[in-house]
Amino acid sequence: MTSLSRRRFLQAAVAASAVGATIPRWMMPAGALPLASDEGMLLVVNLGGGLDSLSLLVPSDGARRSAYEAARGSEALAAGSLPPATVDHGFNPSLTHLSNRFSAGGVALVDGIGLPESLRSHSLSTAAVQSASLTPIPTGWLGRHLDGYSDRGDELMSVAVSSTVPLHVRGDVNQAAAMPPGTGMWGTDPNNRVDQTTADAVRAFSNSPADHGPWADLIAATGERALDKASLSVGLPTSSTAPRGIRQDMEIAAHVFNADIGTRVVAVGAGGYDTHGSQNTKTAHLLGELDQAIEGFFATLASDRHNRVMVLVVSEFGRKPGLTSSLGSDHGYAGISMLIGPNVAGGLHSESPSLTNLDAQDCMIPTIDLRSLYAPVLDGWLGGDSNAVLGGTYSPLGVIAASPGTNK
Amino acid sequence: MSISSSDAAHLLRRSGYGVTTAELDALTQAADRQTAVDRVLALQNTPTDPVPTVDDSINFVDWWRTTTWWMERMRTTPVGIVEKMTLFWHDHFVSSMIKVMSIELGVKQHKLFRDLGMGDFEALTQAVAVDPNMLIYLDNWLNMSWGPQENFARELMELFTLGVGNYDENDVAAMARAWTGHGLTGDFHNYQYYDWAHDGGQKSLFGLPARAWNGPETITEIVRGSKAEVSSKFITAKVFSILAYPVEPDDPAVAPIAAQFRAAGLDITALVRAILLSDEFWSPRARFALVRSPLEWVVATLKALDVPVSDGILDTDVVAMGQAPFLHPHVGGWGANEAWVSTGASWTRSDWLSRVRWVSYYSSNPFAGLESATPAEVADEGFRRFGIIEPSSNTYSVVENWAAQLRSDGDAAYIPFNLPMIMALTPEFQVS
Repeated sequence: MTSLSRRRFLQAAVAASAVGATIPRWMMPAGALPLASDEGMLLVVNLGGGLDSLSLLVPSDGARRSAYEAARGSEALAAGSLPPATVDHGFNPSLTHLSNRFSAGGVALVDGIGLPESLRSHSLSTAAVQSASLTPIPTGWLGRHLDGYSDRGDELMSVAVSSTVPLHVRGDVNQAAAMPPGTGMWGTDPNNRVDQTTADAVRAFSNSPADHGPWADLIAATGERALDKASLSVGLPTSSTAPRGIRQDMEIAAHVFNADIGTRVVAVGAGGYDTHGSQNTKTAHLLGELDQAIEGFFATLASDRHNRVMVLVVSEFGRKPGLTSSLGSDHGYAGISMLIGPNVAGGLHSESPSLTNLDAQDCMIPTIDLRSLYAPVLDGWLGGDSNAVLGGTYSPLGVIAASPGTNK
Repeated sequence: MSISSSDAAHLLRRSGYGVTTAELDALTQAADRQTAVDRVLALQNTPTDPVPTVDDSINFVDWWRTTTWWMERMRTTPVGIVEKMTLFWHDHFVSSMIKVMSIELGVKQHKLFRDLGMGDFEALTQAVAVDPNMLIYLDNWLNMSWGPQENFARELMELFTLGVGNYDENDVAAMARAWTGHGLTGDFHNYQYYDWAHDGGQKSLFGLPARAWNGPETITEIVRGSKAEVSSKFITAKVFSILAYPVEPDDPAVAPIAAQFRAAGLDITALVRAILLSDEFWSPRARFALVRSPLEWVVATLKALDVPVSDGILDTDVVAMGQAPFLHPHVGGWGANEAWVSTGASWTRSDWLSRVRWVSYYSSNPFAGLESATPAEVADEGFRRFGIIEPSSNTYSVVENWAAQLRSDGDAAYIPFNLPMIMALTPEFQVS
């Protein structure tokens, strides 16, 4: 992190702690600040349902391969069909492009990732992963980070390409903009006098409390900021020719980064990873979509942004190694994450979890704390303060090879 | 004696999808709150037109036909609570046409929510557990004795009946074994039990003496046996949270209502009635304590404008707003309140309104003539039609000033065209 962005962040953090969140939302300053050329950006991809790590990074040789074949039986993916990854693991056959990226040093794999407690419920585990906290709290780790900026409260600092905002990017102050694909931006035509008069009236709803409870005031303030931000977003493609779903959403994400409207973090998500049944068929399809989505994202991303954007892929938990009668697997514990981009330190950064030494519920036991991945992303890439955001010190994995805007 | 229009509007918003002047006038005739609650619970007045017949496939034309049929029912029914609870159960026992690969099975399950959703909670849960849509969505149809699989077993306890913390991982494993063998007929359209695929062995559940639990018995045990109190509080809190204000099962408001629910033999209509008659429901804390979900807000808007759903909204609008029936994004359901407040919500709502104002203007044109009215008359008629009984002084003057501005700009002709937009975007109209 450069001294300039560090100083700016700390100044803002001090200002934030002095006045806190007590400023009424309708008094917040609006207006996006463009990012400096040495500031990093992050696309966070949530794979909802619990990604089966053994379907992504497949044991191909050695003792772990034997244990994998024992656990998965006839559903074990043939070792010879796997695109290359590490010396004794390959990628899912659908991840051919990702394998190429990995070979070129552009993918950091973190296998065996998890938090100190196994939460097997989708909602609890998703909340824990996105808040980086085992006790429920209402903010996400990236939302808390973004709260530290002087332009805090600016929803374009983070954008969710979806109808709702995931916990990842929810802060105490920072409210991410939810940008569902295909949405028009009403109220942005300066030549339409009647619409401008109407938009001004909608803004004025937030002039003073509506005496209809706190939700009404929040809605009024959000409506005002949405109109302010709409004019900044004009011309931004909110749809694409890519197929609907993660491929389209990630292309839109690239357009948001390209537009330079002050966006530091974009959040997208894909569902369907809860593969209790027909796991091989489903993961082949889902990971194929993800593979295409990653390619589409970097193809759309402007060339001068490639060394300033990273893609972080997370899921709420891994799955059990054992197979059920429905040829799928149940909710597990240790999972896998990836950090993708030209500036990552490529390779496998942790030990893959044992397939024979399992916990009492037959789940793989994590070898690395999730927050050891979040910490370097916060400190080394986003110019933040992982101690403050994560509420503790976690020994950082060396996943960042070059700081934003530089080439490794 | 009669109830105030403020109380009547509160009851109409919570038990249905909007407040028309006619509904408000009728309900304020009620002698007291009990009579008013009886009226909104007159289930026998529910329309009887059938749910559409649809294809046995992922068919987005049929999906949209069903969705608009349902939204139109929400808009026009005199018994909104039936639709509210049908939607509630649809979000409680989630499913997705994409996973199930059949809108026909989704519609079949919808009828089940419609037929049983105001009746016996155990009967409803038992029926849902072996409904093909659920058996496929949570994979239980492939749960066999030789490799038990936990998807349905876990969600049955976590999401459907008990909530996290009221069972442990050993219960999940035992529950998965109990639900082995509950599968489908060869055409995937009907439930069939396969005893040869059922694990008939002893299982320990909830610390009770081991026995050969079989699926449906576990539901009876949860809702009427050793977990009855916990389960009734869990369900009561969820229904209370959509009708009164958001609570957790340990909230003091919940226990007495859950006790009434149990005393009524788990009759859901009795539960709804107990909530609507509770002091908490009528308390200041409950007023405007909920955010209107996209479906609620769209239906209420089209109701105010007298525009049929099939003319008023596109499938892409419903998807962009994030609350598409039969297409739940994940097993946890849609979320509520804070989930529906975001810049994205503001953008999608105003984007839709900027199109529906044309439909309204060139069909029902409910505000015809207001181009020559005074600003106060414009505001009064807007609030009246949108069922906003007590606009704040700020909101009222904003609308009044808006109309005055259009007049002074020579744009008064646009008042009838744009009034729907500004009314639907008032903070008052976006909460319930």
